[in-house]
Amino acid sequence: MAQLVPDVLLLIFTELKDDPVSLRSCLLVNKEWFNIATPILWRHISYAYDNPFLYNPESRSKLYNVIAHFLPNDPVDPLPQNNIILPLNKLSRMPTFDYMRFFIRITPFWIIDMAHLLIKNHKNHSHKKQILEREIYKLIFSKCINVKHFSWEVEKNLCEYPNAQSFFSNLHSLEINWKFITNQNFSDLSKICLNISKLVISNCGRDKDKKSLIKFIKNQNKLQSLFLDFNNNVKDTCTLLSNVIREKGSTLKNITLQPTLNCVSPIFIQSLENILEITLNNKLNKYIDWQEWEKCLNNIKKFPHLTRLQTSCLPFNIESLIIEKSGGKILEIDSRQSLKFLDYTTENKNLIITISKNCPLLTRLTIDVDHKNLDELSMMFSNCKQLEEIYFTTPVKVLPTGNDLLKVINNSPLNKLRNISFSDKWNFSIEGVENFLKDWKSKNRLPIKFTPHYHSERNFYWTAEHDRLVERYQY
Amino acid sequence: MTSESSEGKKVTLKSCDDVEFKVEIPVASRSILLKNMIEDVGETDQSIPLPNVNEKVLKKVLEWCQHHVNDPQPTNDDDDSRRRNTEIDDWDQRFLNVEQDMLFEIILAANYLDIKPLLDIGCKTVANMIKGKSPEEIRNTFNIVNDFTPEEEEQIRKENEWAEDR
Repeated sequence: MAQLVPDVLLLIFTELKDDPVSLRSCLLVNKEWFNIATPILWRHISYAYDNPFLYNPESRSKLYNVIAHFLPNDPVDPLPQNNIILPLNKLSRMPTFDYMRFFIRITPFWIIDMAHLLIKNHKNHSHKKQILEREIYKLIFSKCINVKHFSWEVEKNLCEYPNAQSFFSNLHSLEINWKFITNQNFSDLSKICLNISKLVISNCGRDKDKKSLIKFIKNQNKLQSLFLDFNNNVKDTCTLLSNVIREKGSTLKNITLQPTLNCVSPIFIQSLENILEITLNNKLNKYIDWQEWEKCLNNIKKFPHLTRLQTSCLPFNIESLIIEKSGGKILEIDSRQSLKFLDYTTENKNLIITISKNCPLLTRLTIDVDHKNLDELSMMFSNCKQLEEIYFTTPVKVLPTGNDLLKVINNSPLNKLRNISFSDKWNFSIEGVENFLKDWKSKNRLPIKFTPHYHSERNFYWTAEHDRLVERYQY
Repeated sequence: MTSESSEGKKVTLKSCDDVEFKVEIPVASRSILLKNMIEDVGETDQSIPLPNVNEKVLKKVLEWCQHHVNDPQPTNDDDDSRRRNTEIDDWDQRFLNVEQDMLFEIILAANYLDIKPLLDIGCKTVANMIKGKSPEEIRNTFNIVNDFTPEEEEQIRKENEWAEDR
């Protein structure tokens, strides 16, 4: 009988990477299967344990017990010195593999959970937990030589731990919660971590200067993705931060700024010549100098590679300007709660026209629609024929009837459309939906789904009867 | 060589049991190994020997290549996402509904000939056969001998016990 070669077994087990139960069965089959399946199972766990609480405490304890076998446990080591006796269920010999070298990402929650579960019955539990957590981090830095992503959510001087330098210098992706890191930590990191391609900073800006962050960003040679989540307390625009983003702008593929744009000046935006995805979320809606944004956007030649634009609480004209500057390759626009300067209907109309003229490849669209702008919407559907999913929102207080909107959709050449989502303010009559579905079906188009998004219990126009109607037409 | 310009032209493939198959070049070019060979050698009357594939398996693999002759060539850069998105369509499911030995032979041939989409669906089919089975059931299904000592097996079982359930 033909025997599968190791290369093929690797592919088969990779198909099972999200199925630890089956992978465990595989590694118990024979030695060859064990050698090939084990790295996949343990690599999987370094992803799956981003949220360890999806697993029951018993299986978590069993995993932590195996990891605990690698913790230094000689009488002179910190654990025995502090009366922390681990592991609890000792294996007859040391684990067969150095399993931790298969980990490729480290997030803090399993470390906290491990320390908690292993010593929860100890006296002086809190102090011992701190010691155990420190020992786990030291173990990670020495054993997890293949880790590429690290999430820093702990108030410890991790850079001073043994092997930290080598560990951090290998990272490609780093997530930092500003609450937990000191300026000194950041400064130390910026000397070690030089090859981060994906950087996420959350809670940025709390009571400390941003010089260390700026230096960190400046030192990165391969930065492609930057996610800055600013703290509510940030009040001033940081020119130096804007400058360093501008400096790195030409290599960036992906940028996210949230939940306010008042911390950076838009000067950086001119350098984003290779950007693929832009997310600008301004939900806190603080005072922003939009004229400066307009001026900077007007100075840009193009974002020739832009494929995804996500905005929240941006003025219509700023959204329109970004779309105008795209190279016709946008696949997805998610524009929510757009701000008006003077006249909502006109500004909304202009955005719809801009999308219509500049986004022939658009497949997914979320947009506020004023129900007076259905003619422009019809024009957009004629030009954006690749649309597969549309989500209509509306901020207006007068609740629009959706029947006319459905007629516009039905008369358009949207042959790929398969999902219409809408906020609860849109009101579709049973008769309007039934007429739409009949017409849609008669044109031999794909079955279509309606997805209501409820924001308020008072606006409950989509009923079970609507659902039954749509169900009846799922041919 | 583009599929348009090579349409109608044929190449001869010879199985390990010396059976020759005359195959249209676009069909043979589903195999990256053969595609590269044909591009390197150019037009030739000589047959291409395939020492790792017998007549029965080669016939079956060529049936798959013929059916998928117009599929786009997979790209190399996103192996993982390609595999994830590969659903086994009805025709392929029927195609792979064969004796287990033949299934393995097809997978090995797809691996040797570098036909990634066929390799993917073959591996997915075997993975589906494994899902939910105990180690003993897997050994019985695929006729595999357990070469662990009882002590080794017990140790490995304990080390990976955490994966038993959620």
